[in-house]
Amino acid sequence: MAWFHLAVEPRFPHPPPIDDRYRAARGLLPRSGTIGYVSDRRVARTPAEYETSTGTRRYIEAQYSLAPLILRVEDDRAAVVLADAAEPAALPALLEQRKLCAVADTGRGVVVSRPRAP
Amino acid sequence: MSLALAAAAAALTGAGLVAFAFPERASSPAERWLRGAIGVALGLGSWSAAYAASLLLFGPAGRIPKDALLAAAGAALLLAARNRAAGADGRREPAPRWLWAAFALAGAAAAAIFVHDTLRGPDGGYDAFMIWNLRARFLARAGTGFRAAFSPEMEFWAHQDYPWLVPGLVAQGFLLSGREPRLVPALFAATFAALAVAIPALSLARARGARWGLLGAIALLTTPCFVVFAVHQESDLPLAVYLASAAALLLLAAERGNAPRLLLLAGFSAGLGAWTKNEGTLYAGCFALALLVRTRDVRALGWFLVGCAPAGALVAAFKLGFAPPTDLWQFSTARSLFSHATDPLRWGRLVLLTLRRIFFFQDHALWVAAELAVLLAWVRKLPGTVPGTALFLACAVYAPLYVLQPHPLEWLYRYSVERIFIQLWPAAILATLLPLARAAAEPPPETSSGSWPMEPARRVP
Repeated sequence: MAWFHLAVEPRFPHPPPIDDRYRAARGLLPRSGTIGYVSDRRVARTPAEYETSTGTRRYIEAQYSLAPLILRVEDDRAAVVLADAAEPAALPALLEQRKLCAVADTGRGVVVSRPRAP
Repeated sequence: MSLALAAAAAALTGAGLVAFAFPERASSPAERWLRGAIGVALGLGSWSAAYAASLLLFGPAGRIPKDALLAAAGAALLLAARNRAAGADGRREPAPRWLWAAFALAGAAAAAIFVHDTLRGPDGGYDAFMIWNLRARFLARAGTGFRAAFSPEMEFWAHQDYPWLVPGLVAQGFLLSGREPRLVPALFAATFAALAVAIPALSLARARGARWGLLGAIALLTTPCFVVFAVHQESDLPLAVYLASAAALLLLAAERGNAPRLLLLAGFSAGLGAWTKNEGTLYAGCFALALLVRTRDVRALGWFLVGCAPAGALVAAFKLGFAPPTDLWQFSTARSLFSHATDPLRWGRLVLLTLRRIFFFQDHALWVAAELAVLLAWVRKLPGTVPGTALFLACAVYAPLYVLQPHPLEWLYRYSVERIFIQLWPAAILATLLPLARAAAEPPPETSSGSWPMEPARRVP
């Protein structure tokens, strides 16, 4: 047990602190209330979808980091929408597909956005 | 100042409750430490439950007055118990040095792993940031808007309906420190891990000597998933602590002819378990039923249920007034329940999954196989105890729960069965080793009794 934890595990990189990814966005978003959340990866809405929804963990981490702000998954018509892409290169396509315009790009694939005017 | 008041509130409440429940002074070092460990667990639980009650009733402004009230109540209980008589001399049987060395090694390894893994992953395990520390952040950050923590607008992964004893502790730690140091949830996790070892081990040491206490502690410390759950900062080990504490108090109550105050405290501990996780309500119910079945004493059951009442009322108020429905109800339909119940393949898959997990070395290191072997070879021939019966009931209830629940069986089983195991394991070690130690010392009685007394029963006024 000790050998596995203390000798084997350190060979694998450990995840960076969750807040690092969303720190800049947090400063730009309202402190509380509700905003939209979209991603280039699917977020599971039921346990049956979990295994095939690779965006679930990222949503959970974003919610953890930005609490008490509530992130509404797939709501791209909210006044403010957080676009959270696993691949930063996928952001332009994500914004285009969701008809969003970027307000601030905080790096690492995280963009604060709002719906385009009709 | 507010930190000192909060510390006094938790410490005095725990010490006061224990002093209230035990009519005599501790008779041995093991008993003194056992009472101390139970006092710490109940003090922390009371502090968190009182925070939740004050938050739901009065908002964030109630936090500091609540601490003052708790400290005063705890001090009053301590004062009322100051002239207790000395207890009868307890067991002081030493353990061999090699056993102490094995315990020290297991403890040092567990501590090293805890520190190492916590530094590597300071956000804790998946459930910590998905549920428990997420809730703590909501409570600490949202001020008067704390109800957002239970908002159904979040995805169900946040499990807004879960009780929040651990988030209540962490949130208060954040509020007291004025920021959100990652040390706070890690410290609470370490405390509950230590209590999960201490309570069954000291119960065993008090009743059967240091040798059995050390064996119990080693069995827990060397279970591979034990330290992992501590590192992950989840609520399963805290629930295990309240379960083990209730089991220890029920055994102590049985030893004293079902002493009402100890039954009250056992119920209070089981109630705090219900405020820790949803499964805690199931365990409190199993303890109540086992108490009735084993003792046939309705008054004893009544005292236990009165003890459950404060935290039980908090759970009921939260569930009925604030929380969205639990996902097991949310995703279930009458049709899904019927089709799952009548699906023989689903029952068969559950049996196969369980058999496979019993020998899953990475999580259990064959401790489950050893436990089953001991139960089948020795313990089943001994008179039943209240904690043992309660644990069997809980395991039995999980079978239909797994089959009827709405989620994919393999998925839910994979992510939950180790949790259930670790919740039950400290109490199971106590409930298994105690009668085994007694049987090792003398032949078992021929007739079954309501409980397995550690010493001849005597009624305490």
